[in-house]
Amino acid sequence: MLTIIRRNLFFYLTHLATFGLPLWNWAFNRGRRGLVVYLTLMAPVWLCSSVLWSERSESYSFLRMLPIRDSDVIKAKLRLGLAAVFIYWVLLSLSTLLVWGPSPAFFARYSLINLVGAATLPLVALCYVGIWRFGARAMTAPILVFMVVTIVSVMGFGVVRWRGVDFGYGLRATPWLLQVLLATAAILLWLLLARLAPKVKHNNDAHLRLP
Amino acid sequence: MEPILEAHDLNKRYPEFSLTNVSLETLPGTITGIFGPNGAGKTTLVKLLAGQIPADSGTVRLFGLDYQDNEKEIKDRIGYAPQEHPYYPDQPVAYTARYAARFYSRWDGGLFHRLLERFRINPEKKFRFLSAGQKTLFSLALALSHQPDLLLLDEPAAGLDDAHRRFLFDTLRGFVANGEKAAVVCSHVSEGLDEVAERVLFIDNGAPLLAAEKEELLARWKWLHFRDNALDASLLAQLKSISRHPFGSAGLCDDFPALREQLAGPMAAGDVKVENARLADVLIHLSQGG
Repeated sequence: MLTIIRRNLFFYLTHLATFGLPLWNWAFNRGRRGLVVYLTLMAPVWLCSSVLWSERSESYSFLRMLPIRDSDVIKAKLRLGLAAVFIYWVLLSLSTLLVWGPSPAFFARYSLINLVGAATLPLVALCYVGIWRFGARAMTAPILVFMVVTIVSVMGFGVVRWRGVDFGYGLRATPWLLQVLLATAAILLWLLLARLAPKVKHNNDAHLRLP
Repeated sequence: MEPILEAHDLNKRYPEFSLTNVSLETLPGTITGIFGPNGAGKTTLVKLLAGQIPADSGTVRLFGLDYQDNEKEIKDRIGYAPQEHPYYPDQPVAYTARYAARFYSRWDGGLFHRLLERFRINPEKKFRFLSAGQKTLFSLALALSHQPDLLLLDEPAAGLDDAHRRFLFDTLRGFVANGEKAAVVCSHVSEGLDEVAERVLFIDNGAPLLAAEKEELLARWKWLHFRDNALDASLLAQLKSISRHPFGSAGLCDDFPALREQLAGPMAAGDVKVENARLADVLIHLSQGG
């Protein structure tokens, strides 16, 4: 399983580097304080992109030749996705804490990070399941469309925010119980997709073709 | 003797093609050839045997195990070389081998590099830049290097020059020589693998046409070359694919031992000559009639 993870890690790490550098710069140089909101909202784009490009370079028909169970391949990929979401969440949370300390401003951004994290976890699993159902080639367009729509929305949000509406700050009142429930729901959804994935992969062969 | 591979009543349905009720058994120390025309279902059958695709119904057992519970153990013991090459196109061939090596319990890196050297393949060359023949040879090297007990080769002679084709045939003979391993190859008959196959399965249009020992088959199927009026009507009726040639006619007979007595007279008189049929003749007749 580690061999599979190691091969896919390249794409996750290069994406993480391009995401982490501005975050690091922001956290330690205390640049524009609102940047973390944009970075949080862009995290799903980075993660979906990591999945897409790592899967486009994958050869499932080669993996199927090798002595490794399909279920182990699925586990490796989904756990990598889970770990990546967790790392992004940790990085964003720590950077935000570093900048604001335990203040209302921090909790507002932290709520946003939790909400986006809860949405991203099943999204990443869904990208994988979609690729096992339809193949990486067919899934490229939907994932790219999602990425473009998110980028445009974040830019739109930037315009609104520039006019004085602080979306991130407005989330400070989100009840902690709701956040815990959302995180739990995200993990349950991820587990459900992980359970569904072997059947999807077994019954479809579109992913066996090279993109 | 326990068969290394047993497949019973395999069925696989696609929107435009179905493989129906194919059975196959391979004993240790033998080479089985799966032959058929283009689109016959050879590749689908080999993919089913190699556990690449699941069958809709039927059973496949290798080394007495089934894929459902022992996928990893089985794949560790089979060397599968597919017709379409699924290797990472933008990676050097050495990378693909290193990657594969991590999964196999009996990977022999020395053997792999010796084979690459023999095939004159630069390990640092990206897979996509290999020639068609080199891609086939790389696939063969990969299949052999983890010391499998069963080889499953799909069109292994495609694109090979004569020298490498000879090497392939010798390798296959050497592979099964100790009587413990077996090989299944699928090919067009014209590629020469009928030379090494001891047991043959003909399939066409997704269905089995004939399964037999090659020697037994070739003992039954003969070409009869005969002068006009040398054979009576009842004998002529038993011949297939009759064609005329400058010195008389020729016809294919599918049960020569049964006709031997009746043909003894004309053969002694020199009016009938018997010639061994080739597997290609049998296959063409079975798939196209005539």
